[in-house]
Amino acid sequence: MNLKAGIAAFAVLAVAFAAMYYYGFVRESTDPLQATEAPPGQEGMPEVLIKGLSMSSWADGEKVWEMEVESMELPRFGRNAVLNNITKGVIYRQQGPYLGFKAGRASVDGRNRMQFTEGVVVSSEGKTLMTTESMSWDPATQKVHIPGYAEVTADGGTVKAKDLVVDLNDEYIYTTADIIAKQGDNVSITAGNMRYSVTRREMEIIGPLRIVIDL
Amino acid sequence: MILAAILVLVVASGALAAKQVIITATKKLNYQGQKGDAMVEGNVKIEYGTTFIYAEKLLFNSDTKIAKIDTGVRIVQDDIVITANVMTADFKTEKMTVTGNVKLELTEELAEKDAAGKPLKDVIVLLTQRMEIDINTNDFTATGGVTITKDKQKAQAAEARYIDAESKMTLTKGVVITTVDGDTVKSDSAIIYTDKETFEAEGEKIEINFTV
Repeated sequence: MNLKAGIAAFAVLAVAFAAMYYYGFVRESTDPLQATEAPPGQEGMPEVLIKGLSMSSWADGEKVWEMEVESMELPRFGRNAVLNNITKGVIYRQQGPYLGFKAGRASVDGRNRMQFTEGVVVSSEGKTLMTTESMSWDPATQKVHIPGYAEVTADGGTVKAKDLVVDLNDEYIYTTADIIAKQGDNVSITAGNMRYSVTRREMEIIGPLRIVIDL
Repeated sequence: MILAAILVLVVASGALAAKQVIITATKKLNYQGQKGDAMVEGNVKIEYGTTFIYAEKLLFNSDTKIAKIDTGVRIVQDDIVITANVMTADFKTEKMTVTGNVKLELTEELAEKDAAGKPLKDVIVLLTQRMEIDINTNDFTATGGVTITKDKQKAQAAEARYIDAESKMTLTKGVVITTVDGDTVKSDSAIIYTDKETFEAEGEKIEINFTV
């Protein structure tokens, strides 16, 4: 998905939010001062709660992403929208599903950046590819960033890495911090950084590395 | 009783100690998880017990435990240094094959000492085209023509077999040994002891040429 498509995709989401406001999902008053104040006893409650959502985004005639969400909370003025329990998410690339994802929670900020938390799972071809606790998706750069530790799983091997980036414009997962890769019980690889091809399922390490094989 | 128990534990821990292959490199690794193939590049070093293998590029399969080098290799094992064009090492069977311009240098420490009191050393150089080595015992078999030199002595044969524990090298097929004085001995086979100055020629026909 290119930059234009990404912006278009999130513009769709923004329009959807605006439309929901317009058609009365929100309170009738349009006074922003009133909108920021919740009625007594309802502090912390969302302005609007939508249950059972199926969303998809299209750009240039191609599906960009889709999500099935248990509920969405639309905030009072100045707060992020919150998606609860993303049961199924798909990112499309070259007119086909590229990566799947699910998470317990996601928040969308004013610049349409999504922050996924609570048991984030990214999958490829129906199999779990990555698990982590926090992941952000910036439509402007088309990069998924995992600042903490993530565990990448593929073909019986696992890679534990920190500070991981998935560039949705290409097929690679990048890490710049130390990694520990394990293949089965007897192969362990430590290195400084890694590039993993999601489509070819190949790991490439540039720089010093150490492989230990237990016979 | 306690001593016996400790002894059993020590022996058991030694027997259970798993062998490891440790590979380090400075440049690059391309790992195909499905095939188990790892292509490693840049100052590659393989460490396996007392054996160290050096190369610029290595293909290692994590399933078969077979390492292949075809860009030149240097193998150091105790007092033996081997260089060759190509190497295949099977770490499951502990067998290694080197081919192409194979050169083996075996350094033997002698009982004699120099003026400074340091033991004198003999260097035996073996040139061949193909060598199969037992990584565990250091024994090897060389084929495809073998030339062995030690000081001014020279031995040539079609094949050679070395048993490290006995410091014994057996040469077979068309053996020609040239002594320091230029005398030659031709035989079907010969045994050279790398820690001694003597050799034994064997066969139905032994031809000795020497200058009087």
